[in-house]
Amino acid sequence: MHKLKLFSVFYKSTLSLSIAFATLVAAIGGRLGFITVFGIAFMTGGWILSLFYKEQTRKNEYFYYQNMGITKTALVIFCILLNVLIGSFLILFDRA
Amino acid sequence: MDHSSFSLIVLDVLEVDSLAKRYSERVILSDVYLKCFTGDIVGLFGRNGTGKSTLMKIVFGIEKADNKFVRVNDKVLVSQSQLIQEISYLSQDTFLPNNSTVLELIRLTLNNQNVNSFVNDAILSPFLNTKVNSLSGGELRYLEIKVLLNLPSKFVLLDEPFNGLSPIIVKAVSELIKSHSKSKGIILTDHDYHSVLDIANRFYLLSDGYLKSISGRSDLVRLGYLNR
Repeated sequence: MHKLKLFSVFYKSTLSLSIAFATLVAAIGGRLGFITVFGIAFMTGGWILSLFYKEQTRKNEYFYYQNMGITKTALVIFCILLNVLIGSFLILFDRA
Repeated sequence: MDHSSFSLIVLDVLEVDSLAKRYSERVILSDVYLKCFTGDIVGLFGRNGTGKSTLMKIVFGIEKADNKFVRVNDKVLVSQSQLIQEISYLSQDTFLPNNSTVLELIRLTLNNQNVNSFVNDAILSPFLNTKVNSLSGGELRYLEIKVLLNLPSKFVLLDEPFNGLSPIIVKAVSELIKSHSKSKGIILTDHDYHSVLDIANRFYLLSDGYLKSISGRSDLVRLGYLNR
């Protein structure tokens, strides 16, 4: 449970950039509709941009999670999976 | 620590064996052997660029070595996920997530266990509701070291814990390290050799890729780390 909380704190730290990127892409357009484009951008470029930004500006934060027993690989996989899950849900919701 | 006087106490032991690392043709670490028991404070000396930080990163599992064996209680730890369960690591750079307050971070780290005893601290208590990114360098370093020493890992690697600290914080950090060494094995390196000599009970000098066990200040002079 404690580790799940740590994962969620890390994920939240990547979320604002993912959302900003997906919102921008969805606002610029696409004929698929705002929510679907948002979902696609969120589950693709969103996590790439977030993790790239983290790597460039705050990569030392990974030491904190490693000291808490969580590897960088596990954090990245968690982040990708959750973005894909949320993005997929939004697309399915919009298409339903 | 005199280990013979603790014959009835079961000590945990971290062993680093046959560690080798080279960058291109330059040998950084050659056949390094290092041993640390819980209860030990091991001081690691070496001039700039001799590989002290590299050694710590390899032991923590975040840097690859050409060869290494890291054992805790005779169990070889291979993967990073195994190493980080037993070993904590203070990097030279600050690493705490800085978008929360000090108290939130402490609660998160300790999973709400023993928070009151942790925050009952003259240095930290004025800053509990301060954002981590608003702390001064010394306060932040103190918090980082205290956080690491309160984790359940048996061994802690501290890379330059005294760097940039005022004398009062250096003293507080020294006391923290000494008090936690009762239940942990601590390996530290710092150019503040006075503080290291003061708190460590065993010493090593890293020079030309080789790690030598030394007795103290006289060996540091004899081996050229210090001037007379």
